[in-house]
Amino acid sequence: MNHHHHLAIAYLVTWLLQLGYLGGILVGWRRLRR
Amino acid sequence: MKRTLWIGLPIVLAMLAIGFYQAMFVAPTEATMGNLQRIFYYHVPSNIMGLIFPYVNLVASIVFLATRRSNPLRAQAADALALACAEMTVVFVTIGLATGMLWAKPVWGIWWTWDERLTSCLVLWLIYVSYLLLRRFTAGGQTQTLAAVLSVFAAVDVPIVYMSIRWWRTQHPAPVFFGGPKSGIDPHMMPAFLWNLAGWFCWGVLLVALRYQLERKRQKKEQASALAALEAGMETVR
Repeated sequence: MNHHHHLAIAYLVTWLLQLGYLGGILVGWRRLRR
Repeated sequence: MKRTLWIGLPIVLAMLAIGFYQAMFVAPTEATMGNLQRIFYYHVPSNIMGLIFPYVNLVASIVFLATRRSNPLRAQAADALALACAEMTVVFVTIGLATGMLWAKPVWGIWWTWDERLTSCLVLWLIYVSYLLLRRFTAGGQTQTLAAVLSVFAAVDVPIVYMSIRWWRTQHPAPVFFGGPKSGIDPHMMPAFLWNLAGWFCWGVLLVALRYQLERKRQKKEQASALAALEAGMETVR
């Protein structure tokens, strides 16, 4: 059973969501400092 | 915040890089599912984190409810922690659901089914999304109290999610860990799993710490501007 694209998308989704949340925190921090 | 970020982030990223390497190149290929099984190393730690952070949220919410009159400063800190944990829960449960569906389609032939584990997990996600919406869209001084009460009810779903594959046997596989004598994984898969578990746990703690500090800063800024407005009003009266 080879569904490498499902594996790749799963890892990509994980990183995109986590880094997106981190990015959101950093943007919030910058806005607050202004 | 800067110190937390610059010290914590490289350590956590290094742990996750080791976890990724272990999951992709070191862990053996599973016999029936092949490489697809490697989703396990992100799916399971994300879901475990999605069951840990709700409990930190619960404890923080209880501290808020208990101290909101007697010790407002501590209550505000607890509320900031509760908010950070709720957001982190939503991120982890979203990942758990998404990676689960990506795994289910090739293995089960379906993206989704109303199995007890999947349904209780979706309910958990919906409750914490509603918690965040409640905080975002309610006005007045009761927002924090309402959110804290909701979080107590939300936490009831956590043991149901955990026990669902033990109480009911339907589509989702039986528990891999703490599931009886027949459960468990190949010992060669353990390092990949443990590195990812530790890595995502530390990632979660880091992001909660950053979000907590941001919320505390926002609270203090809000209090300072409220005080300034009050002082300006008093000047006008004089």
